Amino acid sequence: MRIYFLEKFFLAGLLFLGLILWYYQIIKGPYFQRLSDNNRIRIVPIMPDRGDLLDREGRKIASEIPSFDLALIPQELKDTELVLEELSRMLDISLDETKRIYRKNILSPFAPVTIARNIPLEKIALIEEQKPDLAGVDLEINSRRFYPFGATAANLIGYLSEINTAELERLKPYGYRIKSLVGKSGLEKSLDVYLRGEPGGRQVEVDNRGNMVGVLGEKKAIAGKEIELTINMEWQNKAHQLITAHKGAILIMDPRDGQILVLESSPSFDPNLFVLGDIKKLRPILNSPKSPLLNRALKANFSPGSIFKLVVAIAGLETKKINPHSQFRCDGKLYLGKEEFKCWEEKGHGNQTLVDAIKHSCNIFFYKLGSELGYENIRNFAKILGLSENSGIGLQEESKGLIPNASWKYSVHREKWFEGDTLNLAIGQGFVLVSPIQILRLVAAIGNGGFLVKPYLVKNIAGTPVQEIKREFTGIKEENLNIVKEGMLRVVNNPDGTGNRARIEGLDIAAKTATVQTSKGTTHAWIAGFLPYQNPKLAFVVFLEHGGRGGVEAADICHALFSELKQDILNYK
Amino acid sequence: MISKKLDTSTTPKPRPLGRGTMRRSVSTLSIPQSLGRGSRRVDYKILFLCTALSCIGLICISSSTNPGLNSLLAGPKNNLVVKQVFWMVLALTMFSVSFIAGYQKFLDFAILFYILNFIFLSALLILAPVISGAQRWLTIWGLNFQPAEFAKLGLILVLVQYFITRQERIKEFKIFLAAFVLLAIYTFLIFQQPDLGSALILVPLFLVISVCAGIKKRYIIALLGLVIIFSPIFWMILKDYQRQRLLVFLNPNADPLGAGYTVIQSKIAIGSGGLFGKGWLKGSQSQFNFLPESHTDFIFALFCEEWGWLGAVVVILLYYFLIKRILRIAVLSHNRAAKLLAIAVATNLFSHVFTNIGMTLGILPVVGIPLPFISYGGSNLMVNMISLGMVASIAKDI
Repeated sequence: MRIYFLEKFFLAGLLFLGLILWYYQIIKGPYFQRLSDNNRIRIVPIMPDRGDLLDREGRKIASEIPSFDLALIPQELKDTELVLEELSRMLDISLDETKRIYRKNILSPFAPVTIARNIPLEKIALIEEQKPDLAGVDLEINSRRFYPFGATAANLIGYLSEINTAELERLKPYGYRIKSLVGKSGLEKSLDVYLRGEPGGRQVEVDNRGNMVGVLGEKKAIAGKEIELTINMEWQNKAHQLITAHKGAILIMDPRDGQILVLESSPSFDPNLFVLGDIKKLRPILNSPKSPLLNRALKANFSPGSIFKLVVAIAGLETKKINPHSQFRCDGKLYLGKEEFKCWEEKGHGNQTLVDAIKHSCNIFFYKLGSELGYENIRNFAKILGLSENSGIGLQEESKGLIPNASWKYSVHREKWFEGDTLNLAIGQGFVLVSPIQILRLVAAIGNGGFLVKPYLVKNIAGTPVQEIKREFTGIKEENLNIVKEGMLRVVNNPDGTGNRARIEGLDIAAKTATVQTSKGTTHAWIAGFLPYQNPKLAFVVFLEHGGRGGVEAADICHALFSELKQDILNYK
Repeated sequence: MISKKLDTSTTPKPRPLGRGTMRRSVSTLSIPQSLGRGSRRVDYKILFLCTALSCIGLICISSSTNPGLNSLLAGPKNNLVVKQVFWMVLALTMFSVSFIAGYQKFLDFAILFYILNFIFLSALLILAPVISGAQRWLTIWGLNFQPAEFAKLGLILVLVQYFITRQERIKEFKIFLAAFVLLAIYTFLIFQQPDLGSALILVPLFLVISVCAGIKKRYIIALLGLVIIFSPIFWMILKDYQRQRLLVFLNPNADPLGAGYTVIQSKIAIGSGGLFGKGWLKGSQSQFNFLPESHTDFIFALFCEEWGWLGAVVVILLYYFLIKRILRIAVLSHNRAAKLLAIAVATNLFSHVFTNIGMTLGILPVVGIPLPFISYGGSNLMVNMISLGMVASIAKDI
């Protein structure tokens, strides 16, 4: 009996095991099957080549070039220590540094760990010779972003850098991994979605240590799209050379459709340094007090000064406060209560019409006109002409700037609006802030008969034209614009015009200069306009931050630039 | 008490051992009883079952050491199949020897065997500091053998012999106490190796032999009670690191990347096998070495992964038939010592199978208990085959 009981007990025990096995293998089978697949299958992404950026003539602004990189495959290394020693000797990197790079970057036993990038050819030959002794060392030909023009247009093109956590979170579905490079600014950032392509992947089977034991399948990467820009790199390069000693920006746009030909911000930087990621060379850029990473063409941090008088002039004509023949008298100064407002010309300009006032950039004329208009009128026309709003160029570095009014002043400064504020606004001083690209749209709108254009940089993506030309009629009468244009023509072409130094025979440049008082340091210098006077083909802005006087330093750069480009400009469409 | 019960179960209404000839032989009790046709022949059922299980073991070991998919990790394990075949030949020889010699010879030398094992176990502890880490092996003539495995047989023999020779005084507490000391000595020595699994698996063996030999149940209940009462005190005198180790023993899932890793991988291997399995050499868990010890303690997980639930059921049935056969022999035997011995062998077999499979399924703590006949290793196979040889020799006297 006892043995019989024992047998039944053993049978029950074994049945129990059979039931548990049934639960694991049949009921929970699919679940464990999935876990088992997760264990053994890994995806190794294959990163695609990034799309090239070309200028309007097909010159490569950013492209992929081969880079000879040296990598170690952990699972194939026999004597890691020895190999690292040998490599540090051959590559002239300290052993500690080599070890640090290796240890820090190991992801899995089968994934190559890049030790050095861009190895010069003579060293490659040296390593190739030694290769039989260096098991696990892999010379890879990877592609690397290269910017042949270096610092030229760098702020516009932007740069690539290692992905950060937030970006990784967002871009993970697209195959991005830790250490992937992504566009961090400029076009590299705003066009990233087109440029980055689609990563492929290799499905590999791994064992418990993550060693690769086989390849299950491979999906090829799809390269990013090639993008042709509206930029003319030759012009851009000239602009770069002229402004490189200053802080500021040079912009040239076709006022008829808004395509940007030049957009240069200074000081600039070499974006290639970011690709190579050499922190020693990057630190001076990142820490520079001149902020070379700031795109000054798009940042609305600057007072427009006398350029703003164009807005006031248009407002005056449009609201019929003045007509072409109306005159205001300038005695060199103006009193508002006890407060004294001066013209830059102490002797005064006497009686003048609007055209003369623009030519001379007379402050008193515009104080009086502004006073008659009131700040809300001025503000309305500033908005109509695109100030204090994004240009629509599609770069994320852009900021909107500010056209002040009473409620803004009260909400920010807890002060009421004084008449003096209106006078300051009328000559573009005080609170008003604009960006060079806003000024560019403003002068373009004056030049093209009152159309506010949306500037654009991309001509086509992978051969397909993408930009629909967008221009908005401001409603400003052409006859009024012609009066302002007349004034701007005289600024440059009359001997007593403020921008006379920019004059170039045969180009009929019309422009307005500005010399902006700043709270500290040298004045800002502006010159902005269009050419030729009749049916302008180009609108431009030269802006120098704390760079001197509009009629001198800015006008000189303008002159130098267009002299050099004269033939090109005459040939331009 | 036991003898009375055993006698009543055999003589008045004998349960047939099998079909056909066996039924006849049992019913004709006046003729010398035999299990098969003719007496003094080896019990082919037992031989067939243990050989079948060993062959399944060979298939699993060959899969576990298969270098085809993973040549990087070949090397040290790749000649294990050959080694195991060698062990099987040796074990079959030992089976024959013990079959021919007969169980009585073993019982006669039980004390000697016990003492010899005691010396080996002590030698391990003395040598342990010399050879680093946990020491479970002794190397003799180039062969590793595990004294703990032989200790199981040693304890069975000595307990059976001890109880049988003191049959009249079996109810005395002294007898029970002495038997308990015999158990405690081995348990302590094996625990010190440290090999908790092999130490604890002696306990059910002791309990079953004691109960079947006729020890008073209240002694056993009192013993269990004492263990329960003193376990907190035992727990308190343990050092911190020892407690930690015990906790890991008891709950491996608490540490998924450390001790629990094996159990998790084992469950994945078993579960992913499904109904039919992934096929021989195709189990990714074992082929890519996610499953540790896939040729020894966790060989059942490998088997389940490659052969599925159906394969697992076949193996469990083979074990059941083997255990049933051994118990049937116990039933039919006239000799009290032989009965007790067969029961002990069956219990030992069952507790190994249950503990090992329970461990791979994660329902029992991971303690190094091999799966009889299937796990790679000579010692366990030898001990099991010797035991079966003894059982077979019981059968030839029936």
